[in-house]
Amino acid sequence: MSEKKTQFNVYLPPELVRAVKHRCIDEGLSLSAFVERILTDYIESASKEEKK
Amino acid sequence: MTKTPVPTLTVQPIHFTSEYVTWKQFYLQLGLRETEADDPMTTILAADSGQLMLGEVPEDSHLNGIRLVEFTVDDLDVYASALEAAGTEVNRVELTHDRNTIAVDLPQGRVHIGESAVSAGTARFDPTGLSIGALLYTPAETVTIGAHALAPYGLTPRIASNNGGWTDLIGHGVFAFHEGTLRTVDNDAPYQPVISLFAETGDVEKYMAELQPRGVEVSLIDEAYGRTLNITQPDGGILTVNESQQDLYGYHRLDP
Repeated sequence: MSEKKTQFNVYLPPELVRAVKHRCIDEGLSLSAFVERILTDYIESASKEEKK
Repeated sequence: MTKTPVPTLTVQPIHFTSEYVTWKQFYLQLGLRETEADDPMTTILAADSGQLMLGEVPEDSHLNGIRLVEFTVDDLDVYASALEAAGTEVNRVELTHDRNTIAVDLPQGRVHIGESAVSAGTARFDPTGLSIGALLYTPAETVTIGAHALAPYGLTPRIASNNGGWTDLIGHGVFAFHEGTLRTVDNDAPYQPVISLFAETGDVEKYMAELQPRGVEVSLIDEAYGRTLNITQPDGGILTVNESQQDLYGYHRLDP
């Protein structure tokens, strides 16, 4: 992934936003680092599934 | 006999720059106000709570672009007496230009407390306004002990993270210790902690709406601990204005 970061705005249910933020704190990650990891993992695993 | 309470400190970050006019204009755009302490090379700007000193230095100065912090009180002698009555160490130090101060040796380096030149910005921290402050990055194991060392001098510990990476204190303005890399410079003392400037307000959307018509480049960002405004500075760096924390998950209050 490129090192350059860009802002990415999405609309989510407030309860999910709250749960995601709490999980970030539990894992000691910034919100950006956490979301980047989750999305990257999902994209990579979905790509692998498609190739099967 | 009742003890005199230790007077509240005013947090006064100091920004040294060779681009004095540009930065002064920037800070005024943020809503900081000019005070009677204003001359061509040094000025004190006031937030609703807390002050900022802007000092011009030559382009090749080792301080150019550096932000340090000092604290101020109305009357240094009254303040020193209150500290002594409270059993807190008073280390009087005279700096250049005959400036009398009290030096405080934190685990992060030496900071000074001097007599305030102006009264603007000496209101108690209040989330309905804009509070300016200093953010001191320091190794995690020194976050809490730094706050414990500073608090007796007139700041109130407010919120700390459960993992030990953050402790903030309020007074006139706000001061925070945050896990990170400590940097010190030689100025009035051999080791003085370099700080980052930051601010806090209770309503970041309202403040953002005030900034945009003034031409300030600003964006609202979600962070794990809350929301923050990222303001683009004249040097391209980011100044953060945190929204007063509402959700204390992973944090706890220290104040009564």
